[in-house]
Amino acid sequence: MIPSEAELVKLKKDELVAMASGLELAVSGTKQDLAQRIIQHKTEAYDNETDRLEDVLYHTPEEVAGGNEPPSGTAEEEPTEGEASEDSAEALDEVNESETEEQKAARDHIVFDELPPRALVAGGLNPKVYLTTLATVFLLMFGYGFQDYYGQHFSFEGDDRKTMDCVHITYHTMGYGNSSKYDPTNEANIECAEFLGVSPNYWQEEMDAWIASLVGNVASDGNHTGFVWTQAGIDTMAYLGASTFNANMSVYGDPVAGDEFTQQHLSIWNGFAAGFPGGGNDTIESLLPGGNSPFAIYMPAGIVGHKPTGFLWTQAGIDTMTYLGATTFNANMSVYGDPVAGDVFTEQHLAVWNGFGAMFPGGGNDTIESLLPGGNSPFAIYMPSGIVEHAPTGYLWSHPGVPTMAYLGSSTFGANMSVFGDPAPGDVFTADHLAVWNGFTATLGGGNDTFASLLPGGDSPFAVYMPVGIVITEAEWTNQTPSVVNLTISSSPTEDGSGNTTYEAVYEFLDAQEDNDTSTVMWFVNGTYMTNTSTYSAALTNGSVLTVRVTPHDGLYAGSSVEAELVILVNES
Amino acid sequence: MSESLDLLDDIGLVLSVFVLLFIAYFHLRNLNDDRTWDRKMGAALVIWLLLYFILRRIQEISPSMGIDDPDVSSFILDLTAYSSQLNFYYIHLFLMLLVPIPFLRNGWQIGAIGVLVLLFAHIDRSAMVADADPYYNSLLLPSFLLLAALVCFSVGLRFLLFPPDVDDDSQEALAMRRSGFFALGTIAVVMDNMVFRAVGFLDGSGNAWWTFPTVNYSGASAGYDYAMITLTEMTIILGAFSFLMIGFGVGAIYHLIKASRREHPVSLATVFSGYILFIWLLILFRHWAYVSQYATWTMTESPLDDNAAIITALSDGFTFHLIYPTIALLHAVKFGLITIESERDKKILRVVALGVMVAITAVFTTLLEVIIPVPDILLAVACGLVLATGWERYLIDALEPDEEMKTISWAWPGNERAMMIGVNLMIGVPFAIKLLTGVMW
Repeated sequence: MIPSEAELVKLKKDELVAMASGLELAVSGTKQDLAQRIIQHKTEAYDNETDRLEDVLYHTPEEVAGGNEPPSGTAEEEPTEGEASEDSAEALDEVNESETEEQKAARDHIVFDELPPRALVAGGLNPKVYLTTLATVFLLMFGYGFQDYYGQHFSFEGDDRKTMDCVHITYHTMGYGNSSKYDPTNEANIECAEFLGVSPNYWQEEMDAWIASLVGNVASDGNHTGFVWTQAGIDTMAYLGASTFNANMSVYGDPVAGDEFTQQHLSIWNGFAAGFPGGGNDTIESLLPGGNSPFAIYMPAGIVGHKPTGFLWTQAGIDTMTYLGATTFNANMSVYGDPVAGDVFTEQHLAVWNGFGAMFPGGGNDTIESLLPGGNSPFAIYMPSGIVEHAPTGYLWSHPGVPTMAYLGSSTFGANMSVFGDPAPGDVFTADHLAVWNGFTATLGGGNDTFASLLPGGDSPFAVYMPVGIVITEAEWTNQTPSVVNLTISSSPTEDGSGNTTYEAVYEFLDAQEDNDTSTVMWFVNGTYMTNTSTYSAALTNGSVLTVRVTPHDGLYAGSSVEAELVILVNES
Repeated sequence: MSESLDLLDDIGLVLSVFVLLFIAYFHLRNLNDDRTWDRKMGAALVIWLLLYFILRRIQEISPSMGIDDPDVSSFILDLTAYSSQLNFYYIHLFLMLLVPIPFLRNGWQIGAIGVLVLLFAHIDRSAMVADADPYYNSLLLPSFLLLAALVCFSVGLRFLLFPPDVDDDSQEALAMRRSGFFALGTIAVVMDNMVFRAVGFLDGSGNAWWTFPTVNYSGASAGYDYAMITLTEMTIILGAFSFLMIGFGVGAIYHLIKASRREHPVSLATVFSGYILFIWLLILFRHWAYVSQYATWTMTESPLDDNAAIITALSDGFTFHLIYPTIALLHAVKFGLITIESERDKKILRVVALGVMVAITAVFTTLLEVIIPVPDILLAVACGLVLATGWERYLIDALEPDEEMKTISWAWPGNERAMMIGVNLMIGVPFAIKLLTGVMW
């Protein structure tokens, strides 16, 4: 018996799927699709059985329709015996007008059970010819592109593989100073360098030459060497002259500390030293403390120093420059002579920096000032803490000095504080600042002030306009600055019954002037900022780390922050 | 000028969102409707593709949507990078190999593709991290994608050159027509801007061979063997793009000649042929600009001058912002991936068509303003006149699917529900990870 479509549609889809599966029909589509497919199958089976019986009984052979595999899921699209498949489009139109739109749409779908061969989809009716042609053309294009590129970039006289591998070793790894595998003395690099006809140490040689050219450009600007006599150097040289070279300091023009160490001085030195084994070839750098002069053992403090520029390397600057060198400029700190914090940032250093900077848009024109924190270098964004700091002069801008100078500038000199680089109290009062001040006052009969003239009660002709001075000595600043010692954290149960514990910072406040303690207290739990009150109440969990940071302040001067830490241990019971 | 060109980003984003909402609504409103598996799967893949486009655009326009937290762990960065790659490659591979007549015909074949993509992604990424040893430019994944694209290409080109007779209703003819139409649409919607390197591949110029990602630094960084690996992969990628574009160019001309002689039917293939020839004009112009140094780009294809910025907008920008979302819409409607039946549905389609027309107008006027300083008022009048003539009807007519496209299908040889869930998960999980990490960090 052939079930009706309505009966089948009432069944669950899983049951229909199982039924279709049992009849080896496709299990895709909606319930209606499945129902129609099952009905169609059973109808076909019924018809076939009828035909078979007729054939057996009456021996009336039927024409067997050939062609395509019948699609499933439709009723009328089935090409029946004797009908060609091309009639199916026409048959699609012959739908029962009484059917609903939905039924119509469902019945219009033709879902073929068996997928067409991939070769037919990709290659059409003649896939072998078509796909072979495509593959051949693609392979020809591939071959052309490969050999074209290879011929241009990987083809060398002799052995291509050996050449490429040696280029890799010498120019990009072992022979290349910026590679983590840099090892110029490695046998493989030496062999490859020889194969390529370059020095195994070519990178260092080229870098040295380049740095020398950068520094040479600065050193050749006039007759300045960038080096000065140090007092230790003068003493050493006077001793060596008297004990060894039989000469006194007059041959150098009786220099004093800070005088320029000139090329003539170097020539004289080398002239003396040439009479001794290994001597006579020193550069000025070899006379620096720790230099490589053969006489270095006799002059442990060196003879010369870098000419002060008023600026020193900072640790942050060295760290920043090391990072920039490694990531951007392909250089390490040896190009600056491996400075440490506090070393003079010389004009040569500036030249090297600008040499690097010139490789990038807008770079190459920095002054040393532009390398201060907040400077106007185009690379300032990469060095927020700057690279240099002002060299100490022993004098700092005082608290009253900044507003006094700002007032004098606006009322008298027609200038604002930007001419001093907008200093804050505690900043170094530099030689440049003094020069600017003297420049202003020169037009009013002044112009000869020293640092000391600008102290409170100093001898500046303008002292009457600045009764509390403008500068303060570093010693006095230190004296004025309060400090905090013996910082601990005390704890006690909070009295409000909340179960919290109240923590308090306990410390000694030291201030030479015995000013009031206006220190700032900040609390952190496990490194996270909590509050800045004098005490802190909380129910901290076991293992929490409570930190308090006290920054001493006496109302005017702020000292160095001090921290104390407390690990919370809660009794679990 | 850059402000004007930046507007293209916004227009493209809005258009993509608009088209996405439209397709997603019709696809998701009744997942148990009478659409066959290939239509549902096709609609889902187009939606995933649009989501990929949109997320990529948002991350470019608003970097805060991507990971920009420097402190995020390397695991999260790796996870997001892998997810992004899996998302991109799965969408493209399944669009080309799974619908409407699948080349992947079993669950294990889909799984194998998934594993291969993951493996190739791992090899590519491992080769290109900063401390990799050997450090070389591995391009396995794009090579693999391009080999799959060649399969899709052969289907499309076959249809351009040898379309079955329109009156032929045999199963073979139906299969060749449906797969051919779909392949042309798929190629158009997934076409990458690397098609603009088609000529450069042949003449060895830098816009193909020295522009990322096809840059062979492997010889320097890892030696001869790795240089050969990279060269082979680069040649597959560039060669495939060049082969594909030349093949389609020839096919398009052949088809148009045949169509003019009424030996080929005028159909979507004719529209595709016109599009391919238009793209070829852009390819030739951009290539000329590069080799003549009329315009200059960096190795990452960033414009270095105004001419390059305009040409990039005309080529990359135009195709990315306007063509891809529009073709995605066409793809979804024309092939019956979504069902537009009731009067209400048709009204919604009309609104979307109008939206697309507005976007087309906006893109054209933006580009025109950059190239020729036309006063805004003139452009507004011209656009108003064009829109007032009801041009959206032409677009709607063009979107109307043939009866055959709506009614012919081939059954998936297995559990179609499991297959669809599996494929959607393969694409959706990486997408969700990428989205979430972008929002969180």
